[in-house]
Formats: sequence, C-alpha cells, structure tokens
Amino acid sequence: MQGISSDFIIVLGGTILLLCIFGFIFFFVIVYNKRYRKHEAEKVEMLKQFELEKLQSQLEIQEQTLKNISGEIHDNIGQILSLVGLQISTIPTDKPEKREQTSELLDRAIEDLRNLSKRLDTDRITSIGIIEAITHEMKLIERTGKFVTELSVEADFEMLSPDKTIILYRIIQEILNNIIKHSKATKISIQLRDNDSEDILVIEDNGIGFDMKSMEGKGLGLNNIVNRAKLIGGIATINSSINNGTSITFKIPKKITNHV
Amino acid sequence: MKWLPYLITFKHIFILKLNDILNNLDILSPLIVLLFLLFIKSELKGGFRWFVYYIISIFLFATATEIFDIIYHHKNNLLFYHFNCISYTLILFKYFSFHIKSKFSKKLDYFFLAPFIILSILNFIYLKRTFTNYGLTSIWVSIKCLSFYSQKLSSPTRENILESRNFWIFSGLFLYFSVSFIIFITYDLLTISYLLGNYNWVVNLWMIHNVILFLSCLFYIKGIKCKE
Repeated sequence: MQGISSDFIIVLGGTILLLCIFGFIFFFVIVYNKRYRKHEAEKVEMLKQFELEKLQSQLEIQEQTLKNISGEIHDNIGQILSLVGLQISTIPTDKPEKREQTSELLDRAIEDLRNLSKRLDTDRITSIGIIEAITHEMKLIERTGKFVTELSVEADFEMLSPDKTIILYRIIQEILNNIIKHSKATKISIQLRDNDSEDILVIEDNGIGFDMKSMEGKGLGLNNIVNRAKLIGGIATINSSINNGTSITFKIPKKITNHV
Repeated sequence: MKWLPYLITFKHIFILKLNDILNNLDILSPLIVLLFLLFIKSELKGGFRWFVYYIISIFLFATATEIFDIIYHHKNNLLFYHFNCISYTLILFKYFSFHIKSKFSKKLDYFFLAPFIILSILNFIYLKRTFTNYGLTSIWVSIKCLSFYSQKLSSPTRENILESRNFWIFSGLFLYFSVSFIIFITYDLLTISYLLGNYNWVVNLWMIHNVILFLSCLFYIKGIKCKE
C-alpha cells in the first residue's frame, strides 16, 4: 500500500510539474507570437506607407517637370513659332500657295503645342476642374478620327482637393494613352457618377482586352494605377477579358478629401 | 478463455520490455538525437556546435556508466556521474554565452561558479552519493533558460518563434532541468530510502527522469529541424 501511494505521488507530482512547464512554454509562445504578428503587421504597414510616399515623391517630381515643360512650350517655343509665322507671312514669294500651306502647317503645330502645354499645365487643370480637363482630353482623342468618345457626367467630383485632382487626371491620361496604344478600341467612354459615400469614375473601351491572370505580377502599369488610386484614398478595380474590352473603376470615398 | 494465459504472458513481456526501455532511455534519447543529427547533416557552427557537444557528452557518460555497471556490478560509479555533471555544465556554459547576453545572466554565472567548483572538488575528494551538484546546475540552467525567454520578449520580434532552433533547444533544456531539479534535490533523501529497502521510490523516480530526458530530446529534434 505504501509502495502504491508513493508511486502515485511521484507520478502525480511529475505530471503536475510537467504540465506547469508545458503551460509556461505555451504561454510564452502565445505572448511572443502575438508580439511577432503585431510587429509583422507594422512592418507591412510601414512598407505600404513607404511605397506610397515614394510614389507621391515621384509624382511631385513628375508634376514639376511637366509644369516646367508646359511653361517652356507656352512661353518660349510657342512664342518663337508665332514669330516665325509672322515672318513667313511677310516673305515675298512667287508661289503664294506654298507659303499658305507652310503657314497652315505652322498654325497646326502651334495649336498642337498649345494643346500639349494645356495638358501638361498643372495649374490650369486644377483651375478648370477635373471634368473640364477630361472633356478637353476626350475632344483631342475624338479629333484623331480613330475613336468615338462618350462622356457621361452625373457627379461633379467637387470634393477632390487640387492635389487629388491632378493625380486622378494623370491616372486618366495614362489609361487613355494605354487604350490608344494597345487596345485597338474604336470606342472609349468615361462615366463620372456618385453615391452617398463615394465618387465613382468608370473608363471603358471596346478593344481587344487582356487576360487578367496572365498579367498577375507583370503589369507594372496596372499596379501603378492601383497604387496611385490608393494614394488618393481610393480603390481601383480593373476588369478585362480577351476580346471583351477593358473597364477600370475608381471609387473614392467622399470623406477622404484633402489627405494628399 | 484459452487465450487468457497468452494475454497474461504478453502483458508480462510488454511490461518487462517497457521497463527495459524506460531504464535505458537516458542512453537511447541522446542516441536518437545524434542519429537525427547525422541524418539531417546540419552545419555545426556557432552555439549549435556546443549544443551537439552537450548531446555527445550526455550520451557518452550514460553509456560509459552503463558499461561500467555491467562489468563491475555494485561498484561505486559516482566518478562518472560527477564527471558528467562537470562536462555538460562547462559545455552549456559555452553554449549560453552565444545566446544569452544580459548582465543579469553574467552576474548569475559568477554566483553559480563559486559553489559549483567547491562542490565538484568535494565530490571528487569524498566520492559521496550526492546529487547536490546536479541540483545546483539544474537551477542554474533553468534560470538561464528563463533569461533567454525574457531576452526574447524584450528584444524586437523578428522571427516566428516556432521556427526558431534556439527556442526549441532552450525549451528542451528548460523542461529537462526544471523537472530534474526536483528529482536531483530529493535524490539524496530517496537514496537513503533505497538503502533501507524501498526500491520503488528511487527506481520510479529515475524512470521519470528518463522520460523527461526523452521528452526534452523530442524538443531538440524539433529544434534541429529548424533553421538557425
């Protein structure tokens, strides 16, 4: 009896002690892993923040460069070409039709340069507003004769700050350039609408589209669009399939306005 | 009921075999770890090298003691035990120096070393049946392991702890030495009981020690599988 009770005490004591040690190790793992998960989440958040700040810096530099180019075109090259036009009109010639043709070509070049200057000029875009800027862009595309454009405006996007307006406008420009270069589309449509909480912008084309799966991890341009949308507090959703065109939707919460 | 005698025989054989296994787990457990190390072919560098030396040390001394007992039955084998304690204490001392950097830990080493050296000398002079040195080492290792946990919690968390080799090794050491501490400090008392004829106490306690050693070796194997 004495032997059994001694064994029992040893086994019981050993088991309790073991459970305590295991409990301690288990508790340590839980506490440590909680801290580890928190640390990992902070790291991911910092990385995201860093990427956004990097993108923002790149955009600021780009905007400054575009502004300088725009100013140079308008104030320098544009003025010189206007003077050239005046000079041409005063040159005596026995072939006036040639002079007229040259003058027309020069006028077209001056107009194209002015349009380019307007498209690049940050201050002008913020002063006329996003809708007017998009309308101007669509008219330029329509003028090429290769595309039919459609602009539907049901919301004024007036809550957007100037910085956000510029970023959104540059995103739209990039998407339109991509459509012109790659989509083989004949029709481009832009819709601006809203609901109680969001401004919504949809850009669609009827082009050849692309396979979304094959673009995973490759489409730097697409990632750039998504990241820029994040920068203005919005979400970009891209939908496309082969031969069914492409649709890109931006949803920008109305509450986040002057963040950038 | 023809099968009943067979069942009883089988039960007796099973218990006998189980007892044999439990009695020899102090040799088998480190042997399994060493075989696993050979199988994994993990690179021996930094502190991990000293951990491997620790496993080799406990395996060699346990085997040597067993062989000595078989050859010289009932002869005093305490010399092996005392050497074993000094050997793995020095190896763990080196191992800890790689992984525990706190000032508290260094102060603890000074407090531990003085009584450890005195006890070791006394043990060799008198060759007494005492496990006080083991008890002292056990509490030192346990506190060192707690320092490791504390260091892990106070430093930036850069790794998943369940994939950390050192975590599993320290957990194995903590498990073995913290439980063994109780066994070692009560062992002297129980030895008297053994000499008075109460064999079960001592034998069962040593079996528990072996089971704990086996469990700690499972932790070591898990640690060896992880990358440093």
